Amino acid sequence: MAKTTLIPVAETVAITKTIDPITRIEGHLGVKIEVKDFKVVDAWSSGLLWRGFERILLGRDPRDAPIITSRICGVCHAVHRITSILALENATNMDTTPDAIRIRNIIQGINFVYSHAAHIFVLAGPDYDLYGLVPGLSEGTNLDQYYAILKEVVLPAQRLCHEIGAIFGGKTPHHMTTVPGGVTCVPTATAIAEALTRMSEIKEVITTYAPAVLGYLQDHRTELERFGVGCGNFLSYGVFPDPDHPEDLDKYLLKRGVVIGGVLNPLNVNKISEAVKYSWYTDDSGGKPAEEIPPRDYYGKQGAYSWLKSPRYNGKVCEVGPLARMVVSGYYEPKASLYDRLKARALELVLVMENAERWIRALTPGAKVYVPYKNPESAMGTGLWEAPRGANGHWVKIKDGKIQHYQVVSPTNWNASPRDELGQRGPIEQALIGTPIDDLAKPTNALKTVRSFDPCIACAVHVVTMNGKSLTVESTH
Amino acid sequence: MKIGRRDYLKIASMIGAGAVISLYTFDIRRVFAEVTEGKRHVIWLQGAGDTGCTISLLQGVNPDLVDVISNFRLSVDFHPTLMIPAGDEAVKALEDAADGIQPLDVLIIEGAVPKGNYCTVGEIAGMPVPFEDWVRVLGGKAKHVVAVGTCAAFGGIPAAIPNPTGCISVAEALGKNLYEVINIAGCPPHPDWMTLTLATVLSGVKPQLDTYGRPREFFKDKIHENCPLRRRYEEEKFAKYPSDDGCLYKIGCKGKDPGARGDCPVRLWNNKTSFCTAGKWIDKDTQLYPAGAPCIGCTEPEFPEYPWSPFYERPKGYEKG
Repeated sequence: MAKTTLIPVAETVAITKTIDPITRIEGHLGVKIEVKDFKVVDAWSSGLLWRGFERILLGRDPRDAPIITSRICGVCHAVHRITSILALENATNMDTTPDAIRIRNIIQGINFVYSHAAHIFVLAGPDYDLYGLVPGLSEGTNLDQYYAILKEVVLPAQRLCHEIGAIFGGKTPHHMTTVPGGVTCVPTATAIAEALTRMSEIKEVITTYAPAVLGYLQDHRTELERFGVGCGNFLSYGVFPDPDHPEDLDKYLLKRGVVIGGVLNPLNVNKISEAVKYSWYTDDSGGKPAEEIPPRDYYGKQGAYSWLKSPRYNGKVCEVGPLARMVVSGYYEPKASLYDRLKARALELVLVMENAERWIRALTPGAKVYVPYKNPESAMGTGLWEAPRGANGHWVKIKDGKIQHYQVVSPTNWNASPRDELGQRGPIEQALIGTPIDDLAKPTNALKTVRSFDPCIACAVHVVTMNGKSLTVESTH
Repeated sequence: MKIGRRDYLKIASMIGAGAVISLYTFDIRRVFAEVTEGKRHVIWLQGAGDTGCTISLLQGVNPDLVDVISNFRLSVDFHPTLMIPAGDEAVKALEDAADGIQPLDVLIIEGAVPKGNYCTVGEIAGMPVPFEDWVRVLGGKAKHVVAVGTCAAFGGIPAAIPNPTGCISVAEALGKNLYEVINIAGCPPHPDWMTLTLATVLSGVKPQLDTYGRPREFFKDKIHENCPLRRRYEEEKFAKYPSDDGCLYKIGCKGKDPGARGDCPVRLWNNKTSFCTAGKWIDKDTQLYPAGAPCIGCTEPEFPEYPWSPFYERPKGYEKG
């Protein structure tokens, strides 16, 4: 990469870098954009790390899958474990108890609260001068202000979320108590009281700052609606079942469904398929998640540029995440932009926080939280759940009591996917097109667009100019 | 002012980690601050991992250390995702250390070391640089090498059979024995383990390690020895199913046999809330402990393979208590 162009870019990044420690955490997404006449005209999104979890799981005891898959991400550390458990329970066609579902909802819910708050205040916040909102801090973030909010607001709040996770989860990150059949921790009066004390502190922080964030968005609506539109289709698997009616999809707090061209339809999971034309896997590695072969890597494949595959719904490109959930649930109109993604995330944060408190209060000390689960000899199962950043699916096939097949399609697979076999760009790639780049050395708007999807991986933006010069902006989400 | 070399782990063995942090807050702050001020050079690289270690570090609760640790995380000469400079400039920090232009006091690695292009960090002349190359070059220059988390220390889950990306531990990548690298094991490690070990290493002292390179102070005992559920074991009251009251031995807990090591039962996690097998609170009415999750041996070299898995079974050869 050309060194001459690096200095101004480094300045841009210095601003975001300095004020973004919590969320600058994973290092493996790259986005390349092509700019013409001060606008992004094309984009390529690349996943840059492959660990091969699907291959590692083969032949293991199915009950070990939730523990192993939880290590796919140490940031969304509740989601893969619970999704994997749902796949196993689906394979054995079993349900668990209402309080077990409540505890799962609580563990997942506080993971949403921490993740969304971190995104709004720490990740996206600096891009939008959100620190000007903090009482006692003036506009124009500097390092001292940043550390003040970090020390007094963000870190304590996320720590309290993790403490609630530990009360019901044993420890966090990587809670330990959810298992196929229910959870291992029986609620006690003390645990409920300790959790509620922490919840009220979290609520105080969020209710202090949420109106300021929503007010800011309202004030800047016009400029924030200008770009980051994307594919316009939304998909949600749904999350947070009603503990007393877990089978009733309509009673999920956030619903399951798909909105294509503004029309809501029930989700048919068999219509999900993964393309691999532009991914570093052999061409036979794609297909329907339940049937795909374990991925065979093929680094250097002609035309390929990502370790991510391209999941599509009935061949359509779909966005996943808080906005998709809010749209599918009917809480938000079906449209997308930076404004809509930020607002949906803030609204969802408040919604989930309030319900998490409700679930904690509804726990009964000493309640039954486990139904005996036994590995089936032969079965197939699908687990559909939601991470803070979008739809997460696990597909498992069990034979002779061992894992014969496993497939994970994570939210960033959807949002950061490369092109498919029809050449359709992934959601982030589409959202980048048209993004105004006033100063090529400072592609801040492109970073804002990528970040609005809250990809659970870091991103680097490689800017390719039309005269062939290129420069690199490593930044993360 | 000059800060002396100090083994905070040794002091912790006498007075406890909490007391060390409150007694030596000023000195520990100085040690981390010296990195921020550029007096000590640290490079932090991330390979095949999930960032849980970094998230865990943020769960450390001493408010007097929040800002210096946050600052420290931003100020290391290179952190693949935290680094302040961009692209080539950031890679320059690595090159300078590799070429000896800048000294390198401590190299911290988070994540296992995969083969070749399964993980790359930065580019030189447009070509992605394999993570493993950086580890080898910089590992040879650093005064101390610290592997953070079980993936870096021993390979961990990315190196699990069949090891699709050829992951190895930092020690193996450097051609060293495990005890020659400081291995802060755990999936993830407890924030105290990281904070005190890093403070000790940054102050220029190599802490006492066990045969696997783990800081001895934190990994002396088997989980079972201090487990709150040990009384249940002595009473021969065993959980038959998850969520039953009783010792978790028969539903797969590895805290006694093979005997995972760690001070989790006394240190507890998340502001002394709980740990995997048992929480802090014995409920007056129900006499139940929250948590109830069997220990999976996440601090051990073979994790996640035998004898630590299958996680919910007694491993062969360890069937009887």
